[in-house]
Amino acid sequence: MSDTRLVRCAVVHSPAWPVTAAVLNGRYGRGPILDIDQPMAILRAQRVAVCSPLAWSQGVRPGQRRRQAQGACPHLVLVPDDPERDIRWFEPVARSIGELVPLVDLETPGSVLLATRGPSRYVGGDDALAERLAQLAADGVARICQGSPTARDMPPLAPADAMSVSGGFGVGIADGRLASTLAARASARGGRSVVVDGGTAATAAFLAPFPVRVLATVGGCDPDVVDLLERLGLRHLGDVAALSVDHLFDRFAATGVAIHRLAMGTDDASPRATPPPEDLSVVQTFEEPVGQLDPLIFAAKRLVDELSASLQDRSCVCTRILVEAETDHAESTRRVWYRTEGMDAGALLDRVRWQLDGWINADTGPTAGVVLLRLAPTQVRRDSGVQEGFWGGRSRADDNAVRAVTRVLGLLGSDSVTMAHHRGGRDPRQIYELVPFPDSRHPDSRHRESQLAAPWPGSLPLPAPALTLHDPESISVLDVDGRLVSVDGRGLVSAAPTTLVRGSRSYRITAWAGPWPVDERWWEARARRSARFQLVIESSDGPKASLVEITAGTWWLTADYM
Amino acid sequence: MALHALSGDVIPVSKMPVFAHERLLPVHDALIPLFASSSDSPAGLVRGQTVVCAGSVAVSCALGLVAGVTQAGSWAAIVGMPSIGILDAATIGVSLDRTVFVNAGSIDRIVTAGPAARGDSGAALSALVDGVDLVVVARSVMATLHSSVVRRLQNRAQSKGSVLVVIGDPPATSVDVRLTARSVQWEGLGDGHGHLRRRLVSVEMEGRRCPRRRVHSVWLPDTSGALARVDHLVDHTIDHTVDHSIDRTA
Repeated sequence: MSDTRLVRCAVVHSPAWPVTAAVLNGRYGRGPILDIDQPMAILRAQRVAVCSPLAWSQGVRPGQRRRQAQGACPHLVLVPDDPERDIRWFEPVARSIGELVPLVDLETPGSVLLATRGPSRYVGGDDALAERLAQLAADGVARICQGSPTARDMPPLAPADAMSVSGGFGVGIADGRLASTLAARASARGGRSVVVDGGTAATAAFLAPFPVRVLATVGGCDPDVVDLLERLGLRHLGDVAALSVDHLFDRFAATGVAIHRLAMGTDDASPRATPPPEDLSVVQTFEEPVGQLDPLIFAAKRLVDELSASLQDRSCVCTRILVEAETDHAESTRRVWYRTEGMDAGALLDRVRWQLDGWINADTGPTAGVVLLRLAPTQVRRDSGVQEGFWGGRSRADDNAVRAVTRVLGLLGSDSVTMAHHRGGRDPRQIYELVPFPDSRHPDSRHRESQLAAPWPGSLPLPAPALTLHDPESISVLDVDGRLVSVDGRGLVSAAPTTLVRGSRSYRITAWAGPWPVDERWWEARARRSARFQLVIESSDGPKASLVEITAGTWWLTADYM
Repeated sequence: MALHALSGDVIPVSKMPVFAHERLLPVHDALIPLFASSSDSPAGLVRGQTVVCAGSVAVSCALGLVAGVTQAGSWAAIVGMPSIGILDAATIGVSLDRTVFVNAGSIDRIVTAGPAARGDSGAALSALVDGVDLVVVARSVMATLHSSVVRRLQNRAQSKGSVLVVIGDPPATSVDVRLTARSVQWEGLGDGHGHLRRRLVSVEMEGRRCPRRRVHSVWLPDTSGALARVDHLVDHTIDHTVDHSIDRTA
C-alpha cells in the first residue's frame, strides 16, 4: 500500500463557543444579558450540550439532564441552543482567520480547519502559524467586543472575558483532519497550541493515547462499531493500531481497514467518504443583482433541493460542500462546510443561510447585490440511511408525525397537544399525566412495563376503564325498594343496589361489587373519604360496566368501561 | 437502446398505483381474523379509508386499532377525547411514545369563535392527517365540521395514506368501514363480590369497502387489560347464555 502523505491541517477550536456566542448576543441586545461570572450551560433537547469551564469545574457535564445539571450546580444559567446565533457570532472570527487563509473549512460554529502548506511557509513555520492563528481568532473576538454597546450600565466586555467563558481557542496542527482536530481540542484544554510533528510515526504516537470513542465523534466511524471495539477491550487508538490489519479485516471487512488506518495516522478520510464521482455542483446566476438575504435564500433553497435530489439519485449524502457567492463588484465569499454525518437538504440550506447572513449583514459586507451563487459538493459518502418504506413505513413516520403535530401546535396553541407520561397513583385518572408536546422525557422512563407491574396499594384491579370522567356525573343508585343506597362509617352497604338512575333513564344493575373504601389525605383539610363500586348494568347494547363512587351521601359516575 | 431513452416511460416507485392490500396499516393480532378477507391474505387497515367505531365498546375498539398501529412504529393522534382512559390504552397495548392527545378544548374554542375560525379545526385535523398515520376523532368534533371540510379531510387522508377513525356515528360523512363493537358479557363481577375481570366483545365489520359483513369476537379487555383472541369460542356462534357468575369461585 502506497503511503500517501496526509494533508497537513491546522484547526482552531473553541470547545464552548455557543456560550461565548450567547454572551455576545446578550451584549448586543439580541438576547438576555448574561453575567460572565456565572456558570453557564447550553441546553439542547433538555440536555446539557456544552458548558462553560466554570460550570464544568462545579460538576456540570455535557449529556446531563437539566435537573442533574441544576443539582450539581444550583445557580447554573441555562441558555437554549441556537445554532444560528452561534454561527452569526463566529462569522467575524472566521473572517479574521480568512485574512491569512482565503479558504477555510467550517465544521461547527467554533471550529475552523485549514490546510497549512501555504500559510505555514508564509509566516515561517508551524509554530509561528499556530501563534498567528490564535492571535487572529482573538482579534476576531476583540473586533466584536469593540462594537458592543455599553448601555444599561454594563462595563465594556473585555475580549479576554468573552473568551474565558468558553475556555478560549485551541490551535492544533497535525497531519490530517483527525489528528489536527484532536490536537486543537488538547490545546484548548492545555492552554497552549499543540503542534504534532509531521510523518506517520509521529502522528500515530500522538493518536495512541486517545480513547477509541473519538473515531465516532471526530473520525466519522459508525458508533456501533466503535462501541463494539470498546467492548472488545480496545480502549485507546494505540490498542487498535497495535492490531494487525488482517485481524481487523477479518472481523470488520473494509471498515476494519479504515479504522486501522485512522488509528495509525495514515489516513484521515472518514471511512465512507469519497470525492464525488462527477461534478455535482449547482449554480444560480442572477440577471438583477440581489441585495437582500431572503430572495437569496429562496434561490438557494431551489439549488439545495436540486442538489439533494441528484445526490439522492446516486444514494449519496454530502459531507463537505463549498459554498460560493459573488457580487456585481466581484466581492466574494467562499467557505467550505463539513459535517461528519452528512448534510440533508435542511442542513445544507442552514449552512448556506449562515454563510450568506454573516456575509451580507456584516458591517464590512458586500457593496453590491449578489449575481452568482454556487454550491459544489467536494466530498460525499454512500448514504447508509434507512431505506424508506413504500408507504412511509417506519423510517420517516416519526419525522412526519412530529412535523404534523408541530403544525397543529401552531394552529391551536401550545397547550393543545399532550402526551401521556406515567406517574403512578391509585386513581385511574392519575396514573398517567398528560405533559405538553414536545415531550422532553428521558428515554429511561420508557420502561413502562415494569412501572405498570409495580403495585399501588389500593389501586383498582385491571382492566382499567376506557373513559375516565374528569367532571364526574351525578347519579342515583337505588335499592330494590327505590331508596338511595348508602354506605355507613364502617363501610357497610345499606342494601344491595339494583337500579342506577342516570338523568331521566334508569337501568337494572345485574352485578356489582363494593364498597371499596378510599380514605385519602385523612391527615389534612383536603381529606377525601369515599367508597367505590363496580356495577354492570343492562342496556340495549349489552351489559355495560361503570365505576361509581359515593362521597358524603352523593353518588357519582366516575368512569365507564366503554 | 440507451437507458436514458427508456427513463421517460418509467414511473417512480412512489407514484405507482398500488393495490389496496399493498398499503395496509397493521392491526392488532387479535383483530387479524376480522380484517383478513381470507385466512392467507394480508390483514390491516387500508390507508386512506375512514373507519367508524360504533356500539357500546366503541372507545376500547378504537384503542385496539391504535394499539396495532402504534406498536408497528406509526404514530396516532387522539382528537377531542379528554376523558379517554390512558391506563386502559396502555394495557390494551397502545404505545404511548407515539400517541399524541389533541385537546378538545382548544378545538372547541375555535368552534365557538364562529364560522370563520371553524376552518382552523379542519386545518388542524388535516395537518394531523398529513403526518400521523392514524387519527382518531370524537364524533363531537366531526359534528362541528362542515360536510365540505369533512370531504376535503377524507381526500387528504386518501392522498397521504392515513386512516381516519371516528368514534361514534358522524353526520355527513361517507364511511368506508364500520366497526360495531358490542359488549356480550362481563365476567368477574358477582352479586356484591368479585371485580370486573374480562369482557367478551363481538365486533361486526361492514361498509362499502367491505365485501361482506364479518363478525368476530375478542376479549376486550382480557384479565390483564389487554386485547386478546378468544380461543374457545367459534366465531358467529357466541353463546349468549353463559352463566354470568362464571368467576364466582375466583
